[in-house]
Amino acid sequence: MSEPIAISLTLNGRALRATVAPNRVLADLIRQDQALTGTKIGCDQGTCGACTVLVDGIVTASCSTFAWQVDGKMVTTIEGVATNGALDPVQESFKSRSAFQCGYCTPGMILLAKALLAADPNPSRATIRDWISANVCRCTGYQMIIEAVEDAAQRVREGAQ
Amino acid sequence: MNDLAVPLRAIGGSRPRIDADLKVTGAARYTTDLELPRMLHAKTLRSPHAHARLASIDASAARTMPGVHAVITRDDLKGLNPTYGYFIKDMPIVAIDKVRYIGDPVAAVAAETEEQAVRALERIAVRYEELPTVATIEAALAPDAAALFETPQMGIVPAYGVGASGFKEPMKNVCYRFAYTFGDKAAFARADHVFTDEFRFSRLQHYFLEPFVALARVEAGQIELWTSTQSPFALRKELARVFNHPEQAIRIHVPLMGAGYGGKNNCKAEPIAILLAKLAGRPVRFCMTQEENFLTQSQHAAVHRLETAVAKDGRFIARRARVLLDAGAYSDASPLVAEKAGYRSHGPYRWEHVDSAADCVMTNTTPAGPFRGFGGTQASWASESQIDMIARRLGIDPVALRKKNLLKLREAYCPGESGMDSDLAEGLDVVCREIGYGRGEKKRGRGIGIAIGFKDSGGINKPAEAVVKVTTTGGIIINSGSIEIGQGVHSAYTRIVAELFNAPTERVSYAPINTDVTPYDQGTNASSGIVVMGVAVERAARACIDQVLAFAAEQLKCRADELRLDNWSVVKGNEAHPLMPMIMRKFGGTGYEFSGRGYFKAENDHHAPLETKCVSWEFGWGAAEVEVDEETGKVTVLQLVVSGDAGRAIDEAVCRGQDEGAAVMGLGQALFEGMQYEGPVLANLAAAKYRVPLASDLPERFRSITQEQGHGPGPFGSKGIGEGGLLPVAPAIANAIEDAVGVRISSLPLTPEKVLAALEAKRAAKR
Amino acid sequence: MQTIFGSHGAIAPFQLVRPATINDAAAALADGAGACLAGGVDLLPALRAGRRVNRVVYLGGIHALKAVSRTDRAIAIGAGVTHHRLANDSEIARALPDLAGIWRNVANVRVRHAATIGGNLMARNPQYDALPALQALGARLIFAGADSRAQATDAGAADWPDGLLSAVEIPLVERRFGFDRSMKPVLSLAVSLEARDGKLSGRAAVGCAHQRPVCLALDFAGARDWGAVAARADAIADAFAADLAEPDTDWIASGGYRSTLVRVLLARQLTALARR
Repeated sequence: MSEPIAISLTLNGRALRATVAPNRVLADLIRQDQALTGTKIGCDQGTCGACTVLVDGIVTASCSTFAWQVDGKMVTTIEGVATNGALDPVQESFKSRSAFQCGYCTPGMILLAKALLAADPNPSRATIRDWISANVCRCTGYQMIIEAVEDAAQRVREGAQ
Repeated sequence: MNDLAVPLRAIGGSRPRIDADLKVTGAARYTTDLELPRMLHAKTLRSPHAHARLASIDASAARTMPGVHAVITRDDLKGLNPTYGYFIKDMPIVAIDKVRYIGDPVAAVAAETEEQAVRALERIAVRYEELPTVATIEAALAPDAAALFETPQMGIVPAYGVGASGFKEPMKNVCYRFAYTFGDKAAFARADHVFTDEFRFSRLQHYFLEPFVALARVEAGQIELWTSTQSPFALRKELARVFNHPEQAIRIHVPLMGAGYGGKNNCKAEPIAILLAKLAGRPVRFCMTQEENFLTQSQHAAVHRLETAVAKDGRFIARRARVLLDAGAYSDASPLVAEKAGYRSHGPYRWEHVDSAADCVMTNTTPAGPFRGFGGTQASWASESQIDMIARRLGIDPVALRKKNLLKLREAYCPGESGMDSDLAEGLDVVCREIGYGRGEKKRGRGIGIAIGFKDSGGINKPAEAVVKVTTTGGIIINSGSIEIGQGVHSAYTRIVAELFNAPTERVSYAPINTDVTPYDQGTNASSGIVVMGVAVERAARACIDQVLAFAAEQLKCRADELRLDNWSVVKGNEAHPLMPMIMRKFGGTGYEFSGRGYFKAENDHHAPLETKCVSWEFGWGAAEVEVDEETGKVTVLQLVVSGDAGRAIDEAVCRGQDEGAAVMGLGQALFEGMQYEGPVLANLAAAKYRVPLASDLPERFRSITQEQGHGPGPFGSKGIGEGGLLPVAPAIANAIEDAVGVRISSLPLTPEKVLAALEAKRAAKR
Repeated sequence: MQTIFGSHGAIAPFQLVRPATINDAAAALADGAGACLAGGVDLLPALRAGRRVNRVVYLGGIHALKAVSRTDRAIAIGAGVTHHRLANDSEIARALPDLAGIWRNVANVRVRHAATIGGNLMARNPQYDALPALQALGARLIFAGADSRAQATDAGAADWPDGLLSAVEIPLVERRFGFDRSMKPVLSLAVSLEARDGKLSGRAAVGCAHQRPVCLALDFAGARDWGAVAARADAIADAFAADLAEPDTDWIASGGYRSTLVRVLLARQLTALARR
């Protein structure tokens, strides 16, 4: 079997070097090696989106990605969203709108929302609904999440002014 | 106290939840996130057969595999009481004599890595002698059906009050029967019409994103457990019995949970984790995969046969309900679900006579257990569907028919029972108005349906105790066993306590849950948080405040009733006296903590059918507008409206979220979701094939309305919200379909194929 | 029947090969002991469920697999092109505007970024969308053998060559294309109406209803223009459904219902496309 692979990536803004077995999955690098447990395992088969992280800004299922696949890339987990303890606009919106219940899907949803707003700063409700359909939430019924994303878009636009 | 006009400072509106920062930053820790040094990983070997004798099992090769520290088969259960359950203790830690469903665990391994555990399981040799299977209710009840249990299982029938009775194992493949009756069956003879209809309810998977998971450490005679469970005290008692281990030497911690929806109760991942930890001498983490969730617990599918007697003017006279619940292969909570499926089968209406019986039928499928709605979902599906059918047969408007028969505010549910704590007709008006009932022209292919989902809430005979304490600087700590499963209960109690202390909510925190120090709670279930534990929390807060005021009165040499608390001062007349210096003067620089204890349990009452009167009642009023494509049968929900009565909403966003989340679960069950069995084989096992609602499934217009009628028994007039929103959705949509295109679908889900078949049958009948 | 339920942490070790060229990849796959990895949407769940492979051949580093090239007569889309790129690439959008528009809604945003056209085809999942779409478009699949030779096969062919799927080739003709996925998982229906030198032709491909998608030519019963096709939509659809192999009956739907849907959805598509 293959030798372990040396990789270097940026994780939440910090350079990281690691040596990973070819069969080591990104979620385990994040949750175990880096002890960042905000990224959750839900279905563990790339369907539910609970394990979502951003890889070069792209929403990615960390349960279904090998660690070596992010060599040379920028990875963002939920722990990398707030800056110096200050919540970012998407987090503020989810918090103020209580757009969560058990919270298990929330890290993935927040990263998904961030990717959406980066791609489309003024998304229509239909666009938000389309993007949010990538992730499962069993608790909220989605409507309050969609409203939180609308709220976040407005915060970002106002913040940018 | 229930005066909605009194403005409250910390109650009402929406505020950030106390778990918000944890959950939006990823800092929230769930059982799945916990690790202990030297922790081992557990994996299970499960039966490929739905029904078979376990002829032999040889794990000797597994025990010597690399990294393996413990193996469990039936040979490793000595000294234990190895079966568990609720009323009936029939489920083994691992299979002993037989396997009874595909997925039934037969062995478990703890190893240093999950991969090593899997490799070891592959070396376990099992020989099965297959037996005939019974995969459906009908097959299980056939006279020549194979029996899942050949001998009676250890279990009890609890005491019931007037009209209610229970029977353990009344016949083959029925583990429990609950029956309830009042009035006289001669009432049937007085009816103008008796309508008999059958309804089929599907089986949902809970689909919590956090799976069943337990982390166990057994050291120096202590069992320490971290687990995702809704009822740690009940679990502790059961584990003490199973492991012959003193209860006070079992400590259970419950962190935040990634949801439960009722499924996380009694033994699930815990016995295997504990036994492996005991044998290995190291901590063991047993985290199930999503597939294993599907093979551990599910909702109850059901068949309802309703014989309903009415007068020609639509007055309800009598109902005979026969309910068959598909309990799956082990009893789990089925007897309790049968109690409620039977008890709730006549709905919030006035009857002269009711005769209900609910049987738990054992089948070679995943064990069924508590699922949001708990028999009420099934009962509402059948009853609210039939009421519309009866309305149309009699030529009476379905809303008018309901109003004619609905119980009034405070009217007893049935003899000896407590009264309704919502105005049901008022709630019905809310959803009818919102959906536009009776307004506008009827369009071809479009229809509107309404339904009232119904269940008792607050559990039965539930003791709940809480402690509230306050520190020298006014920091308030709530110590209560209610688990935060997402429903916002920790935040709600925080607001209640902040209100009572006249303190900002930022000064209130919620202590971690640990069965050694947390006061007793029977469980986080039955929408009982606000109306049962909430009352205990309120009493605890008041008792604590009494301590503070008594202390201050002594210091100020006055009477306690001359003082009131304002933030962290006591106010006498118009003088404010800060408490911290007072406390430090008496107790010294290190200060003190005041605490108060509160307890609540409904009184035992043999006149009440379930031995205590129900504390509260939960209603979900629902309305749907649909459009039916008459060539494909596809049903599009144009609007969905649900409403619950919070009594007084402690937090609006929390109430809204509960109703909307529940409604979307109901929407999935109505239209497409369900565990599909082909014989005893689950065809849609796990994510890729089991479709759950996504954001794209939301109707164009989806609205939830939280009513505050003000009649609730909880603090400040509050009531539980958490399940009601699910119950009316399927019958409302089925009723809307009938309104739209004149066909009745009596089984879930309401697939396009079923609708088209019904339309084609209707067209054929016309020719 | 699965008796042990693995997780991502229990994936068996394998040899990882990361070729830079199609030839190297085909060589690494030639002994049949390798599995292809591109987006991982199918391979990762399979490995997690216990599939053991000796060798994983990672295709993501092969630029040639992501090439899009166009001639007068056809557009070739590399097997490594993601759904997202297919939906948004300007070259593809110019050549196949209908397809690009439809592809914006395939799967979900996360899967669209990871999963590739090639992966979607090679998964042989009857629920997947690429094969019925390509069959209706009359596409060819290009396979690269270890000896550098390319083999082409129709997307509708029953057997595909061994080797690495390197590209799909879609003919460029005057065409109207639609793909009704509104009744998934029961049925999907891709329809292509084409005009060549004034002659009308068409294909419809049915997905989700058989072990593999089924594509048949449409018989326009002599219609000379799209208006006539629209007017005969029901008859054309009936004839198509009658010709179609009996759809499967499974836990999702019955064959009879699927047949009915084919007739109804095809008639609607024909009408909609013909009237554009």
